[in-house]
Amino acid sequence: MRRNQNLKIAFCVFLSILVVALGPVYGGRSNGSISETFQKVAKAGSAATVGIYFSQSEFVSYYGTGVVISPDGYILTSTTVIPPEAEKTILIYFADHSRREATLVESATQVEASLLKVDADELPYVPLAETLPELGERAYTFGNARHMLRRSAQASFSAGRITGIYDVGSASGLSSYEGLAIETDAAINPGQDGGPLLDSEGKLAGIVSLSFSDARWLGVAVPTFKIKKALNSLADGSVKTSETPLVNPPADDIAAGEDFLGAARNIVPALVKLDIKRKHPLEEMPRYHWPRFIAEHQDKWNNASKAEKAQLANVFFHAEKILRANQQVRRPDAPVTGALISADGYILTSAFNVAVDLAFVHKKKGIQPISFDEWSLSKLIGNPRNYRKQRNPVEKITAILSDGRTLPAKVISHHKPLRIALLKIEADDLPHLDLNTETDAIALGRQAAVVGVMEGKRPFTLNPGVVSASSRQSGRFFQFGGTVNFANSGGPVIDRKGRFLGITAEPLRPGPVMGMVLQWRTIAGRWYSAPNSGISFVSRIDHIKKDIGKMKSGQSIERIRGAFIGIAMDQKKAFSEGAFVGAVIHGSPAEAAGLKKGDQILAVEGRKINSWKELTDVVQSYEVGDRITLKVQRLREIYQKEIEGGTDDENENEAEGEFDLENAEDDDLGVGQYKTLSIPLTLGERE
Amino acid sequence: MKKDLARWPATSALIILIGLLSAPISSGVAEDFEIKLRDLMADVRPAFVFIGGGSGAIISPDGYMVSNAHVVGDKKHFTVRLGNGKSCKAYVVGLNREGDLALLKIQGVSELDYLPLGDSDALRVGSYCVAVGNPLALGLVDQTPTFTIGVLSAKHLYRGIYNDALVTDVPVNPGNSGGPLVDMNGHLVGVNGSIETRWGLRANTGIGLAVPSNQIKRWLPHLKKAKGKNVPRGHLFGIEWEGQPEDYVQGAIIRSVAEGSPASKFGLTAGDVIVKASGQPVWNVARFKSILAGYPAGSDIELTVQRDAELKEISVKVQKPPKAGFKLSIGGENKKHVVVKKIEDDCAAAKAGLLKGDLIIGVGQQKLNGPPRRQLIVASYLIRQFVAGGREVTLTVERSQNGKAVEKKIKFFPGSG
Repeated sequence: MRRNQNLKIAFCVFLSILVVALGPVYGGRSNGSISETFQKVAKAGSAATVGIYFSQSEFVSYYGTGVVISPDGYILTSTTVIPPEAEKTILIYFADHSRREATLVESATQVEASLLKVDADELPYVPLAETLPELGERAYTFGNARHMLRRSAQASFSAGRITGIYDVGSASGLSSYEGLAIETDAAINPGQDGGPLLDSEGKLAGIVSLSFSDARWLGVAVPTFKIKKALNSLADGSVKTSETPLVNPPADDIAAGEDFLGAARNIVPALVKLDIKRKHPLEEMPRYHWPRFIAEHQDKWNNASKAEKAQLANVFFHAEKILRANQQVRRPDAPVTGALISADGYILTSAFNVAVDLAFVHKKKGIQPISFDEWSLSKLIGNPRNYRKQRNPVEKITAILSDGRTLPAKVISHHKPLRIALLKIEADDLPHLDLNTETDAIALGRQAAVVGVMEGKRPFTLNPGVVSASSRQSGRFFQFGGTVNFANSGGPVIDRKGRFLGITAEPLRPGPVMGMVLQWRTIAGRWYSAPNSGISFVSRIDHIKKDIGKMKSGQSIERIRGAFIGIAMDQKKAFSEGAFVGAVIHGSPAEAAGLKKGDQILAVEGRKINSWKELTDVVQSYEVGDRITLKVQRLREIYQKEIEGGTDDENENEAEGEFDLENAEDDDLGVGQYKTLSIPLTLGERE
Repeated sequence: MKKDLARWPATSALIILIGLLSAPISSGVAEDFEIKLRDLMADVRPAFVFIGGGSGAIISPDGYMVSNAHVVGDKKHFTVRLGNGKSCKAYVVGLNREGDLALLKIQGVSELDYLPLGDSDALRVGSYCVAVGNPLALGLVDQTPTFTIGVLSAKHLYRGIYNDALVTDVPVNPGNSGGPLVDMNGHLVGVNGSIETRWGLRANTGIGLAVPSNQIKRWLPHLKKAKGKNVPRGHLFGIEWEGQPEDYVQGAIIRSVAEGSPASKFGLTAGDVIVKASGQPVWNVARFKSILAGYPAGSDIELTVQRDAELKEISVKVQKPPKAGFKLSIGGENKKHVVVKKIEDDCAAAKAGLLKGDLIIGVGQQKLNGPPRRQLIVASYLIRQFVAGGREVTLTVERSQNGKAVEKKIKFFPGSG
């Protein structure tokens, strides 16, 4: 009997082990299924995506993307690829490397849609979506950058999510579309206009447009349902399209997406649109679409000689470049995001949103809109020397609450290290976010999303991503892979459960990183900010919570207080073992104690130091006023002179985007040249 | 006994329940994915390397690491920092500048965590990928690399020096260069290199190109033997191609093959259409050339050639760009001529009869005249053109024999030196 029972127990244990072992297998399988969905969509969508080439005239040719919507060869694209007046041969490139000629069936300029037809039967195609997709739903795009379909017979697949549904205005000069648009963070690049945006079921949610919002700088598509209404052959059903989904996305993936949407909806009442008016109003940029430009100047164009035409084209594109450069140094005239954090009207936003700006003011005329009416480049923008930079401070902030109320807001305080600002409106019983999030919610690889506001009726945008690094800048920030731009910077980042993780800083821009001045010279001028780069910093909720009391009392925080030695890192030895002094700050404890450039800190109070990071960690563990002893290795005087004399030259590596921090070869001098010192030092306080 | 029987299902049910609860079925799929990601990131991190202004990845326990050639630049020695914070010395083992790949060796280490090379061809479009890097040098001081996630967008893309590249929508930014692109199994499938940008922002917009692991595998043995130098890509010399439009898809058509050239030795002839090269379809000449660029010089490549109505398999050995094997300078009487200053004994020109001190008076159809400096520039330019194209060089030289000036024509195919 005893043996029998043992057997039974053994059997039970076996069963439970089996269950435990199978668990991850099930988990793994459902896990893989979204990847399988991607692969299915990639395959089917690529097969239905086509490259389009069309040469209107000697000067004007178009290439773009299109999508097959019926097996008998109807292809949807944009009027920016095939304009309504297209008469000449339209070439269609398929992913199987076949090539067909198409005819234009009809166009609808108000939705920027052109319907083409090729002679075929049984082409792979995509079904059309009946309705608008949901925010947070999976979205797929198929790129044709530099005419990939023609050259390599494939489109580049990208998976993202529907990140916003809003009205686009005349923001893009490349497109004339105005109206409701679907935004996605899946890749959209030049040459992709006219291409498909597929929803989570692989249905055509919209046709990619060249239009975009200059508050968002993300690609958008014109919704299919609008195109369907506008094109007669689609509206009357003469084109046999399908509504059968390409894929059935796994239920758990849909649920996960809905979790985010639900969490976002819960916090939306606490979002605030901040309308910020500065001293110098931002000018509306005139942005032109080249064919439109030609059309509007038809008379001049027709009478121009070939050389003149070429010159005009040059003027146009050069001027366009200048305008685009200006756009990067200027903010869009659009509301930014803030979040209510108390019932009595305290609002957190990014410090960047309320920062003093620079305006380029014409010395005589003041700020004037740039116009394309003039034909010469010099008249177009004038001499840059006639412009001067002027401070452009914030004069008025209006907060628009989710219930529609419009209230004046004022800046209470700044937190410079966290790059946030605290604002206040006068109101009671407001919905607000909870600051009491546990910090373990922020971990590498966790999914999160930034919620932002947009102008118009649609209340919010949702840009998800994963935590790319859980701690940056001494733990004050975490790095987030979602797309952050002008409109959603200052917006709250939440996780799937709706927990508030932090406030997004401005779109990242190059500059001193953690006190180190990297060699940005070559790019700093050109690259003011990089919206949607997939690198964004979020000030962590725990740090916000720690200092919010002070901030509410009106106290701005310029520096994080803490123990301070007063030395800067030696950039050239950033990768070397050990902590090397690159500079000694004037008037600091380090200077008083006699530390010198080139010294290596070997130990603090007997604790061995292997890197700069260890040094800062150890120093931070002491209090201001503590007396510590540093063990320092220094070159003897005779050799010290060599260092001060010669090796201070900067390493001029101007390669694109590369910052040469590599130190020169460590000196091959013998051991005898060094001496080890013990230097006592009283820790100061950071000012 | 009875009691035991009664208790048996209860016990087993309890144990099974415990088993069920501890299985990840109970947690959501999204959480499973996060856990998988986090584990993957933790596994990959020690094999990541901070190097210069870019990134790198360790691919063997004894310290071989890959990066981009543009990250390495002209330097031979580096101090690098591993993902676990350790600082090490590394030196350049070999480069493929034409394919933007660099192999380095970290010194004085063993049993390092490394990323095994995956099969980039087997990876399906739509699969998740993770990029590890040091974009904008963000991770330098806190020694934490950046992890970004996306999907594989396309394979076998030919663009610029990225021949046969992987395309991903993983956010890759300046500073990610040379960093690993890993699949969800933690295998290195590519080395991130160039990106496409929009609106001149120099930030990622969802198109990143990576050197695929299968190409890296082909280059590795050659790079390991390179002694810090560049390993040239392979060429197939002696072919004059038919002109083709960019969207031509019927194959690379050979107009003519020079007699005695490498191409003719492998059995290619005029009128042949190359339709496949090492298993990949060849649509046109541009495509064929870029496929070749993915192979180091000295590799054997299987071609499928259409000759008349037949398909033939032809194996070719791709070669280094040839060298002329001799150097020119201004000399001769009153320093008014171009003369052969130096000549290597075993070069093709020497075998064809070119001697040191010969005056060059013509290259191909071109007669040299005018100021000596101009003659030298024209002669060197023309010879370089012939040599780089692998075409036959015809030199008209003058030399004194028995006190008399004799004119001679010397013809040779530049050897791949």
